[in-house]
Amino acid sequence: MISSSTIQSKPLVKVEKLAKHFPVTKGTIFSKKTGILKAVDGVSFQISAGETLGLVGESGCGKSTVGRTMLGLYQATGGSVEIGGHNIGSATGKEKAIIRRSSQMIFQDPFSSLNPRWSVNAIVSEPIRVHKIIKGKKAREERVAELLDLVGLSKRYMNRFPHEFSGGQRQRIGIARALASEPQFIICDEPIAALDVSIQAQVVNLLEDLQKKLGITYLFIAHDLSMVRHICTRVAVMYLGIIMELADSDQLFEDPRHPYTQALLSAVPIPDPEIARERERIVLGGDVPSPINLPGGCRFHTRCPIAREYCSRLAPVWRELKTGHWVYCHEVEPRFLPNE
Amino acid sequence: MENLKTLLDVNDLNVRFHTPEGIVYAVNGATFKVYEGETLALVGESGSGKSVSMMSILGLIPLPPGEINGGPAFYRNRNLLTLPEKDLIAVRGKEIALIFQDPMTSLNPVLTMGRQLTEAVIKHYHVTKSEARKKAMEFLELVGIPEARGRFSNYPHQFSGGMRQRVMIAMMLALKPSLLVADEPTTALDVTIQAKIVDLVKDIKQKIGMSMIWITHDLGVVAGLADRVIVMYAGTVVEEANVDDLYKKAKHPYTIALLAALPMINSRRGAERLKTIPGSPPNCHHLPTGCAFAPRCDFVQDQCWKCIPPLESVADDHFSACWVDVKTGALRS
Amino acid sequence: MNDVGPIPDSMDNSFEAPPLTLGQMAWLRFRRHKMAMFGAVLLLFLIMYSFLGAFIVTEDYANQTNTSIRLSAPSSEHPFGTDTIGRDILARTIYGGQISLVIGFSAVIVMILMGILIGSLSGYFGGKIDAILMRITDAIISIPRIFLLLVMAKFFGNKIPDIELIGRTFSGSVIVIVLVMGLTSWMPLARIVRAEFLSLKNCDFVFAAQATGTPTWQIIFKHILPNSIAPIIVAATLGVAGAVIGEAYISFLGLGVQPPTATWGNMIEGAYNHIESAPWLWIFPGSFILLTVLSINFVGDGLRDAFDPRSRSI
Repeated sequence: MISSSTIQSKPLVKVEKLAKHFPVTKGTIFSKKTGILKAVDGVSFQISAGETLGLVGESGCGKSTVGRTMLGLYQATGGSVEIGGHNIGSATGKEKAIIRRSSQMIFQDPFSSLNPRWSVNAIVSEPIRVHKIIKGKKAREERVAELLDLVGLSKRYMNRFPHEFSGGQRQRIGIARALASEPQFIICDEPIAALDVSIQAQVVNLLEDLQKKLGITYLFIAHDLSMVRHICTRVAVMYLGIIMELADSDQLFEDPRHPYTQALLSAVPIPDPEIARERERIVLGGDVPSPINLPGGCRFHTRCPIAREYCSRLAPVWRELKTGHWVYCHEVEPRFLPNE
Repeated sequence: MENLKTLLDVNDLNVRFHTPEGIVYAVNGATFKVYEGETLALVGESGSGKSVSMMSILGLIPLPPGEINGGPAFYRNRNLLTLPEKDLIAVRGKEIALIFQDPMTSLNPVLTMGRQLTEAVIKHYHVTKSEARKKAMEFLELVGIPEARGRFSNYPHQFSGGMRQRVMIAMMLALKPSLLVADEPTTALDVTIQAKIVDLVKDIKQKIGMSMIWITHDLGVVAGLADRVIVMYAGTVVEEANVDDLYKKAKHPYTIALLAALPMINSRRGAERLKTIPGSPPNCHHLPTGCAFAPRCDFVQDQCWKCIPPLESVADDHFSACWVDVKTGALRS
Repeated sequence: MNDVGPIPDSMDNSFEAPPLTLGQMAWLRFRRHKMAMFGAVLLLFLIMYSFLGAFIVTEDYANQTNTSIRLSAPSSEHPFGTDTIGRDILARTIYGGQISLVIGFSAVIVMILMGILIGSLSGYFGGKIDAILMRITDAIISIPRIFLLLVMAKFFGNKIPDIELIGRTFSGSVIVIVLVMGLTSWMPLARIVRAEFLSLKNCDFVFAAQATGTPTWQIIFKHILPNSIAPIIVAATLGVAGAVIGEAYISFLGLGVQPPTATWGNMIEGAYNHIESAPWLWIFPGSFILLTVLSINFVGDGLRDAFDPRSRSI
């Protein structure tokens, strides 16, 4: 089991100051830029091989955008992403193909993530064909059968179409497709959010087993904090485009330092009526500000229960409280104010 | 429970849908009661029939292709299933309020929020327009929408999901209902917003003394909200208990399995592998012969495949539809 | 690890009925549409009439003039009567049908190719490419069709040679008409295809293909296009009807295929001076056009319903 105290000299995934801004335009023929939507505004983290980093946050925090920008599905506005030593932004041709092979994605919606007109065989074998990993139709089919078996689906289903499967089965097909190119790194973008509770556990167990078997590294993007604690080694909490706190999974859940994390955890419903009755909830005032109109200073100050006057003027510094536990806040002990 | 008055009394409800692909057996013999002043949670996964049962009782299911049998379903002492349309609408308007998962579908996108709310108030309070506006603003403030006056002229799409739900609750408040039926109202909302809405609803419930039926699949929310819980599977009630008993002393294998499949946020990472329920949710194109959960049950016995277990009392105010005693693993006597 | 193993058949109840492909489902839905089936049968009959009828009468016979029996009403010898120079109208409807239908279907092929090409590139790439292509599309739409037809007919007029097809010679003017019809009718389809691409390109399966590294052309033509087949097929069937009618009216303007080669359109043109006195001159070719268009519209209706992605039932 990997814990972040194991010092990895070279992490598998290195994300530095990643930013993705979307221009907001008005007008159809002569569109004018009226603002910038800063979906991701400077995110940095590293993931060691074999580890699972959780990326959590509420809707609009930018976590999905991080995942997609990391794979180059969106063009990054700033910052850099390195996977296995290759820089996504500057890669061309062959290098790009290597990156595409080694990093894959599993999507949230089992209904739109599989091409409804393609058979399961075609879907799962696409990465094999595109990267020319196996030549020959028969040989590829055998490999598809192996992959389906790996995810718990019978090879009888190879020539069936997505609409004939349930949500959980489709997610398995999506996982088989992600595994087809033999990746080192898989981004799981809310892979279980759309599934029934009893099926979620199946898929999570599958992901864990695959990690043990094949040594895959995961970025697990989710909003279900209970599941995140279960499956992730380390967890990063995002808010309005940046990471507020990053720590070991157990550390984060047992000793959350950032006021946003604390509020978030206090709101997570716990399936235990006794605990639910006793808990103290931290209520965050106000609404989430628009990512087009970010508050000045610390962007969380408008809702923060411990905000001070200077929080609206000074942006905090991303700092390490103790080994592996980072936080973006002035007020968390020991307090630290950047020079004005 | 003997001291509480029964508000809703549903007996042996059966609902099926006639589709070109065949008959869908959505609800198969659902029986439950809702008492005055309580919060009842109706829990189940997709296909359990939890939504359909409530919607059919309230007359919100189109009747072909839907077909309702069984019953009666008494609200106070009127059978909602046989009530003429006019009276049913009156009951729905005055006494039973509904909120849904997606408020956008219940709100008119081309009318301002203020106008919709004012109209709702006028309809039920028969006051003048200006008085209705005042009342509407009060309701908006009650549900915690800041700067209510300013937001009066905003359109639904200008509100966030959480705000829209609050407006729905405000509209519902205008009715001062005896019973609130909420169908997955917070499923699409963020955790922090969900918590606020739950608090709001609890607060209102206390203030105006209404009863609540909360339909959901989220066992976490239920623990913090419900007084009593009903678990449904494959269109029928499999367990019914008060909230503490359900979570600590569940008797039905499905409930037990469901609770075991939940990761606990306060358990250390990697402590245990999640316990899964093998197989997939039931196919509602067939009426079950025997217990619908048998193919996935850890405690299944021969009898389970042959006969459908009835909902029986297994402890004080605790009902379960199962042939087996989960403590011993043997058939119940 | 039994929950990760293959789902045993006893628990796997999602395959009760033999699985149907999307095509099969569409066919079953189409079959239930009575008017569409009627239209399909009628269309089939019209096609057989025109093409198999060639085995019963020769083209020479259709073009054989005999002024002594000109403008004679339908009789046992000439079931549809004769025209202004004594040619048998029945035979001419057979050969005329061949041309009219060939024009109809070929024009649609041109229309589909252009429409898909422009629409898919526009929709997928967006930005400047989209802007340019759409402005071109708008420009062509705003030019009156007749004007375009006139100009193109004049321009291409005598420059295209005759071609041999299915045993008969098609004059170059047929090709001109096909091109003209095709190149003036692709615009609505392009817009439809563009709209489909705009919405489909944000689907997760497209992102998945991009993440895999699938080349762009494959994403456009193998991923997205098959999912937009439905409106294309509907537009295509209706396009055939449009082209058949289009041929009729450009023939009526005298710009179509020139006699002696018969088309349904120029047969009506030839009836211009005898509308009341010899109605059989225009009733028969006119009816054929009417029946063709009607049957195609019924089929188009049925196809639209059959491919409706919203209905997942049969």
